[in-house]
Amino acid sequence: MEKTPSRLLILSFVAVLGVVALVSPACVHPPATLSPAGQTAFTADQVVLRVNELENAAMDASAKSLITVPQARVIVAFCVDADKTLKVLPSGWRVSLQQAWTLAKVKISLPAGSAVAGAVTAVDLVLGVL
Amino acid sequence: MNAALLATLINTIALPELTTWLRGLHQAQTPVTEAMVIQKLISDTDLGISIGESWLAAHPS
Repeated sequence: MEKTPSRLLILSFVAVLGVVALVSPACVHPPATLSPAGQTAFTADQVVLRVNELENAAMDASAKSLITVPQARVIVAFCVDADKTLKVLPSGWRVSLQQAWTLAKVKISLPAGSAVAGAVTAVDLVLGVL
Repeated sequence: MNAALLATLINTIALPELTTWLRGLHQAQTPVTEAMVIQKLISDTDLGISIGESWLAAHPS
């Protein structure tokens, strides 16, 4: 089948839609009825959910030898530290987690199509580092 | 239809169904409170920390 530019464009669009659908829970807004503290905790919990999914994806990929144990260790260590930060600083996590995540990604240097790519993108989006 | 039979049908089928439906509506509209959200944040973070630390201990560098 010939791959015309328009076909590639459509395929790219479908791929982008797939990624958006995959990470859409990251974009859930807190209920308007919540107090400011409740909304802050709600937003922080959305980040925790994505971080924990990344942790599980890394452990699973490591068990299947899709990524190395040192790579998985970097991801899991980041996730543990991120959870600790989010627990004690639900309103002040953004900058420190963005920096830690950027450093972690440099250390692991995973290719775009790696086994944890979806979870990585979800964390990118929720931390705002894309 | 016999009135007694109709009453029995209402009492044994229609009313429980209606009660269940109303209860479901009420539960679906239960407002999320600040305390509930904070508690969920704490349990979700604790879970991630616990699982992650166990895995790191089992996979030393």
